[in-house]
Amino acid sequence: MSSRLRDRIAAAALLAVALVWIVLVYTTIEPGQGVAMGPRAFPLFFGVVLGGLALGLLAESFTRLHEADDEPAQAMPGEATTVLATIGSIVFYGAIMESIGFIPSTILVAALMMVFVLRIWSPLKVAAMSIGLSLGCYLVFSKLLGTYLPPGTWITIYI
Amino acid sequence: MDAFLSALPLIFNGPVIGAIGLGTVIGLVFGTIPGLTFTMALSLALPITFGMAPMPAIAMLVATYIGGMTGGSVSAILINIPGTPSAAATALDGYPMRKAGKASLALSLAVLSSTFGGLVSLLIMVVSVNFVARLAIKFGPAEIFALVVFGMSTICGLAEKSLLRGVIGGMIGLMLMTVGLDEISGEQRMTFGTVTFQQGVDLVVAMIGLFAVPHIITTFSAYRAGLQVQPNPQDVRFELPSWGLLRRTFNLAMRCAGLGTLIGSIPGTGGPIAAFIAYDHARRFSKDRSRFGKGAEEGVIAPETANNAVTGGTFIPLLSLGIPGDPATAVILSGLLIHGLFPGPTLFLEHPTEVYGIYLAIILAYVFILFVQLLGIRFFVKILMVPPHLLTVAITVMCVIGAYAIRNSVFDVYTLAAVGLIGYLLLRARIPTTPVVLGLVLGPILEREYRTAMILSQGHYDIFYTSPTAMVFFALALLVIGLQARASMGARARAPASEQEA
Repeated sequence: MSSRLRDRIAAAALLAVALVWIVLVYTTIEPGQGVAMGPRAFPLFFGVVLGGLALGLLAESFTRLHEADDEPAQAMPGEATTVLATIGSIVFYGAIMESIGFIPSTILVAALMMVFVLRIWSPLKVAAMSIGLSLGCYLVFSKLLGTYLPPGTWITIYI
Repeated sequence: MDAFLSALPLIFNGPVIGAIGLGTVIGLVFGTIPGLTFTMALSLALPITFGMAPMPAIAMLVATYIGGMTGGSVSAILINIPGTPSAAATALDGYPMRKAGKASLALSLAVLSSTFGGLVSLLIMVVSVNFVARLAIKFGPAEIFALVVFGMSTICGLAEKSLLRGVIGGMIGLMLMTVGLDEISGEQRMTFGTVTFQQGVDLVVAMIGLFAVPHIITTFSAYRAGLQVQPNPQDVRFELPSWGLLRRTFNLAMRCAGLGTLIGSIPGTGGPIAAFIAYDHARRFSKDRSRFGKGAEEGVIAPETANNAVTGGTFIPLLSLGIPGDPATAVILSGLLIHGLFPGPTLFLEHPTEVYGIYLAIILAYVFILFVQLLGIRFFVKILMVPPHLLTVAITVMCVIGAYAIRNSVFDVYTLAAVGLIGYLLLRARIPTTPVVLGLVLGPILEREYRTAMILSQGHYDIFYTSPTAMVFFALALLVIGLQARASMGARARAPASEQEA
């Protein structure tokens, strides 16, 4: 993909974000009363500026005479899958953490990442890493630093 | 002098030195781990001090604060994830230095600069506490707004090759921070009627997402594609800065220390603004700007000196006026009050010995940090010998813990994922993410101060243009933007010409 095409896609996406933002701000936030600015002014201003900048990026992609020299490296093979797997793992971790508790959820998520993201199939390595990481983090964060980690509502494990 | 001499035995005794050592370590650990802030460290340390005598208690709180401010650079340099927002600017050149096999040099520069910045700011504080306090208190909403506008102009320096893309990044950061309850009116903004969105996007969570998630994705992708760079024993080579480098950068460090102290003394500003302005200052006045972002030593020295100089600066309004500049100093203020010290102009008259005791505690805390960090560098860099893909699994877990621990909220974990995805997509679109961080840091202050100024002036703009201080900052911001726009247009004009020549 050329840098011009990439910029046009980015500009279109940013323009869409700005437009949706402006509509949401305009329809959901009260303008405020009195002489001072209300809560709507800044978000609206930022949305309008972003829209203008997106148009600027679009215009630049048409007027630029040369390809960008700071083109990022091409996506690595399977990068899209890795993006989905990584973001999915974090969301899944958040979703189960309070229900099943920190230790089981960490063991589960670390094991899933080892198997599905890193493709490490050795049960010993997966078990050692996921259990070790989970217990290590629990001891350091919860016991040593006093950070609250969810004990779980479905099952509760206290050490 | 008598007060100083009477303060010496107050500080140089076992319990106080022990409290400073403990506070330093707690602060360093919390500062180093992304998501665990030094405000959390102070909140943890405060109850411990309840049973202590006043001096060890205050010394411990001061040491925790200083340790936390210093520790943020370790993770910024080693894994490109700043431990604290103040260390975000340090990652810009610290991480490239680590990639170039200069991890220990970057870490030692960071700790030396931090100590230097902290001690110089203390000296400035001792010499000019009354003058700076009077100056700082004159900073009303209009002046702080102008300072923040000047801070935003540093986006120009962080925009790498395209000013347009840098401003887009900054704008996205500004927009993200408007989600949640409006600070002034209490109105819900972009919450979609849900309670969870009312808490808004936390700065630290967003920062972890922007820095950590793209790093996690890239490391996993490289491993899957068989392109992972193996750990290099050279990366853990121990290296200290040369005298030549320290001499060469002394003036820069002095300027950044002054800058950090001044910014720190203004309530409501803080370390991240000072660090970014200092970084931009170092880049702008460098003979070779192209080195910045690629591992320039000055890119570590400037922000680290400035963000630690903020610690001395924040003590100026805290001790002389009883005004805490940020949440961390608010915890210290409560510690002082609990132990019978009431900050304000009378503190210096009624408790001069204790005031000198606090000064000495700050010095001792920096001495501790210097030794602990310099001795620890050999161990910190060992982390680089862990296979990157396994280290990244651990980083993912720690980032989620860090995000969750901020407010014990799963919403923050989802925010981490969402902001991380945005950060990754922005990088693929060649939009730098550092201006996003600047937008996140400055956005709430920008809006709050502007609207407060407008409320105070009843909607008249003369509050801005009748303030000489505000006008100076606006002029500086315009100058920076003008210079960068000229440089960008010059670069655009030269590029096709060089292409034709080729």
